[in-house]
Amino acid sequence: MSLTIKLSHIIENKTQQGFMLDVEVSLPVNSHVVGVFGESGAGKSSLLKHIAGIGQAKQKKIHYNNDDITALLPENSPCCYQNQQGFLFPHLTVKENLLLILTHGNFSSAIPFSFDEVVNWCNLSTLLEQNVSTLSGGEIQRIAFARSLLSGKSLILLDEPFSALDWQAREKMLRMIPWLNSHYAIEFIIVSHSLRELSLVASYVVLLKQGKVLKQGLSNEIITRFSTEHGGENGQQAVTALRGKVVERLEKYQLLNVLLDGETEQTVTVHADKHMSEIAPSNSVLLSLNANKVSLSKTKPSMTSIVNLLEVKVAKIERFSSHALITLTLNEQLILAEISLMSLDKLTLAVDEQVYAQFKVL
Amino acid sequence: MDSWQSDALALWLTVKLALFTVIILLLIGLPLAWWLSRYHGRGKSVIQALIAMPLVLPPTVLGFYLLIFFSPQSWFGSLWVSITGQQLVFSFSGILLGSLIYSLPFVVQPLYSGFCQLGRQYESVAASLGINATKRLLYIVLPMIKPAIITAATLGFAHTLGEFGLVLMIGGNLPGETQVMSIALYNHVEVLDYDKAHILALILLVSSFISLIMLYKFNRPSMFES
Repeated sequence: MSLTIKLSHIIENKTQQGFMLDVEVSLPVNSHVVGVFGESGAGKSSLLKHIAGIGQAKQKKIHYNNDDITALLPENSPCCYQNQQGFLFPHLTVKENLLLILTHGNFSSAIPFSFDEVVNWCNLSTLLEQNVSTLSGGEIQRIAFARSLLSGKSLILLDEPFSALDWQAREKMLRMIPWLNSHYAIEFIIVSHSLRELSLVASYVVLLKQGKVLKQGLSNEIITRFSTEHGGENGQQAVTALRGKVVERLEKYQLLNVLLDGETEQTVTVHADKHMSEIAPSNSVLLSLNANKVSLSKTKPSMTSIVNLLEVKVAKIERFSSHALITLTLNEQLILAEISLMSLDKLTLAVDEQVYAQFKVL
Repeated sequence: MDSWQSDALALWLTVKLALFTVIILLLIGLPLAWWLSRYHGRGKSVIQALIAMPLVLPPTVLGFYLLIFFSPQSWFGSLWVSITGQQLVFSFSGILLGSLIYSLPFVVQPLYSGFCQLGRQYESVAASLGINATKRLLYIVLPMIKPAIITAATLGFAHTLGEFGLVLMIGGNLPGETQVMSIALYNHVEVLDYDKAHILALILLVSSFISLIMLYKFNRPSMFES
């Protein structure tokens, strides 16, 4: 099932420490958008290139849906690798870049959507006639993504695909990925060094460290645990990835009510425009919740402007030099709250205590 | 023969020689330069030196060895005679073969730099998007190194126009067969006919100058420098 990778790739290097990628992992790409997370040099990009058949390694076995794709040439592999720089063909216009792949790609005859749809999703209609040299980094990345979709390949490997986009535009592009996955069964693996980015897009996450798989699992658990273990190191904000289903649309306020996965029925209210509502309603959604946006209360607050209120249980309390990180459990999902040490002392929280977590509309 | 006629013949012969040389050298040079840009074996410097030899060697030295090599007494020369029924020395085929060797570096060098500058990234990206090798060559590699191809063709053409020593060595001075413009010019100077010499010299000077102007004006290889 899905994608299994067995890879042992070691490069001896006299000047630097030898680079090593030693991975044996099975990724559930058919049921999840898979995120790969790790520091720079952890081997994230190399892993994707090896899957796409671009990297050379002696000891390598890659199986995709029971097919051995190890020896396939990149053009015959079902995987399309897209890197950060985009590499649009500079002698062609934007439109020609896209059409070249659509007309001549080995897989492009099978795409389940039209050229115009892709242009519309990636918001490229005003750029089509432009030369590549006039584009900004963010535009290049959006076009490269459209080009990857038009390749018609079933597994798209994205290596920091939207790093040049501002956060708002990036969020919009990222939201599209789980939607494409559920509507068109296109599978994605996305590499990022930002947990916040992955929490928006990936429901399954692999942690790489120095060429080895450190952990893998559902994003809620992996991302939340990584956040607590690294308490805001390396400029990473503590963040929680939540999963739920849209149950109600509040058209008047352009909001959505999302029922969080799990037994106790608790809903979260989110902005509708962030969830691809203009394209198609997306049932299953991923929510990214920054820990510093969550506040805690021991009593149930009333008459407050803050919309989201969840009943949660304290699972873990950790003190850092400047703040405290509280791990809360809600059904099987974890939520992080970052509060000041002063608040921690004032509230006198205890493990297993029932509290209210509140945050604004997501 | 009227000397105007023989000058016109020399002009036509020179253009024909340069055109044939450029077309054949592009056909040889493209795959050779492509292969060389990807080859990193031990013999690379030797191969590069061999290709670049005509740049530094006096044309008469090259011409002398080719004269020996092309003569019906050598194995190559006699093989040529047995295949085509004609001998190579003092023939158009002979000076064409000589020109191919003589102008080779002027065509291969720009193509080689073009392929090196292009690198393999774009091809790798195209392959991963599902474009096979033939289509990558047609739609990506060749269009992207077009500036290098134009440079190679212009330099090869202009350089063949000005060939003298090598043609004289292996081709001699036969009007309509091997007498190119630079040799016709030399003949005029020999007999002190400076008026006709001026005309031929001016044609060569102006045509070389114009082709270089066109090269620099319309062919800016900065297209894919990011």
